[in-house]
Amino acid sequence: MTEKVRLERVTKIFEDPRQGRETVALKDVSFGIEDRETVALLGPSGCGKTTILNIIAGFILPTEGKALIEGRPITKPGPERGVVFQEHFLFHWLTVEDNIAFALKVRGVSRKEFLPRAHEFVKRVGLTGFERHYPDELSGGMRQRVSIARVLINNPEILLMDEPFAALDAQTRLLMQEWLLKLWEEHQMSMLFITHDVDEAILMADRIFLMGVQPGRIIHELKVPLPRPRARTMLTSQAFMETKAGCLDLIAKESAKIFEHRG
Amino acid sequence: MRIGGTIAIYTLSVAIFLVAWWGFTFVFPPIFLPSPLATTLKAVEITRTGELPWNIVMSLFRVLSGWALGAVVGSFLGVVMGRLPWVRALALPVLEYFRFVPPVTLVTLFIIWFGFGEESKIVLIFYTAVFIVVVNTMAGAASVREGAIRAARSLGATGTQVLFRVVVPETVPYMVTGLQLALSNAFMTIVAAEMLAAKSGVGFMIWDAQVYTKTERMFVAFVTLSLMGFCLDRSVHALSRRMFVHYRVV
Ligand SMILES: Nc1ncnc2c1ncn2[C@@H]1O[C@H](COP(=O)(O)OP(=O)(O)OP(=O)(O)O)[C@@H](O)[C@H]1O
Ligand SMILES: [Mg+2]
Repeated sequence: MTEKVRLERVTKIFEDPRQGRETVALKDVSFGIEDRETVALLGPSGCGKTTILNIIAGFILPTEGKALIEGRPITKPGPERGVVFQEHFLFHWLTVEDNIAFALKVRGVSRKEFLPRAHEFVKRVGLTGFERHYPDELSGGMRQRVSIARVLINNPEILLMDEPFAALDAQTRLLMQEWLLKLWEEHQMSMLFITHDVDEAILMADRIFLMGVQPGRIIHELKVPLPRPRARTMLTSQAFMETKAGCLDLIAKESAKIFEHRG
Repeated sequence: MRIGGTIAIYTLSVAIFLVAWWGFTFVFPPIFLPSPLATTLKAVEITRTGELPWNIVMSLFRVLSGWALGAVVGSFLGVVMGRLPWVRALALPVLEYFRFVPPVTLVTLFIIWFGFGEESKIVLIFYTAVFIVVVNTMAGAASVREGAIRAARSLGATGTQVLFRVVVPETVPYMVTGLQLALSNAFMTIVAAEMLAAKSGVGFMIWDAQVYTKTERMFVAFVTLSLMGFCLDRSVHALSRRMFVHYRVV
């Protein structure tokens, strides 16, 4: 079995007991993520992207259906699933190197052993010289690189990223995308990449799942025909443009449906 | 530049106050209002005899020991209550009611329970401090960023590790606020308690002076109190800033 992650007819209902209201955040979502594959979830706000990530990360359980990691049911978070949040959630009282070494520290690795490894990852994410800095002293892009290094040190099977670059300015975002693509070439792990930026989805992913709202579900699957290694220059290539056109078409159709529906 | 300015303002403000005080001594007889000079001379005198230092030490000892105990117990309880919603739900109403019982009112009760010795005063200060520390720590522990906890859990941290490596550090700024408030409250409480039921301490000095109309001593005590409170407060602020530079202490 080469699939890292599989969701089987996953439904997630959030109940608000005080108002007796139910939100169907996800309805019958099924998909798999292959080994070394990057899957992007693309969709409007509230379509359940983060909910899918939370289920795979093991932060919440599905109401119905199954979520599997390498064939085993997901019941709780684990270091083989590295999570990168939109807000970096770094530990602001720890230095860059201590943040990156957090996973080793909780495993009881001694400082003498974990420091060289942490420094190796500091270097890998291009932050040499900032080992002793604190997160509050870094730029947004640098913080996101620290939070990526913090999970990479666990050598995860899959990277789960929730709009990791959404809070960055356009230039920094482009640099970070390129940087992540390069990093992927080195590590070649599976990736779930959440975004609402069409360009970003196409550039990063092998497959894109377009999602719709009410209830949150996958409405289309799109294969990205771009070769690896990916580069920024592909953003203007013929294949990219065609994929984007197709993607926007599907989004427009879906929005139109919602529009009519709401009358 | 900024620090120099602050010192200048403080000096000027105290100078104006002293001049005003001095001016009023021409209006009122010394038994009502001793002059700054007379107060200073009295202070020197009772410092020489050892009376003033002894009373200062006693007050400080009570405040600091009760406060330290309250800090340890209060931080622990606060974190537990902040993280366990059902414990918090049960404890909050009780806290809400007790909030309106000023600690000083418990002096007599604590003397019945713990005797006339130091225990009753230290317990009183402990009670004063623990309350404030619990309330603040609890608010902090309850508002720890869920994302930080999730991040730690998915990096492989166990429940206990999340508690000590994420929840506690995230709660530090609230704890520090609680500790600072607790200290100034403890200070006020001990003075009141010493006036009511003690044979030493700066509060006792005031009570003693009042009974025998030794106004000069009373003024020495006032000045001592303000200086002690000011120094304690500033030291705790400076210390916590220095100790927790990267914990976002305000
Ligand atoms: N803990 C929760 N309790 C109640 N409802 C929730 C909870 N988490 C999510 N929801 C609801 O589920 C739906 C999907 O939320 P989700 O956060 O997964 O959306 P999203 O696609 O990530 O949106 P965004 O792009 O804004 O991040 C929303 O309607 C949201 O209000
Ligand atoms: Mg989201």
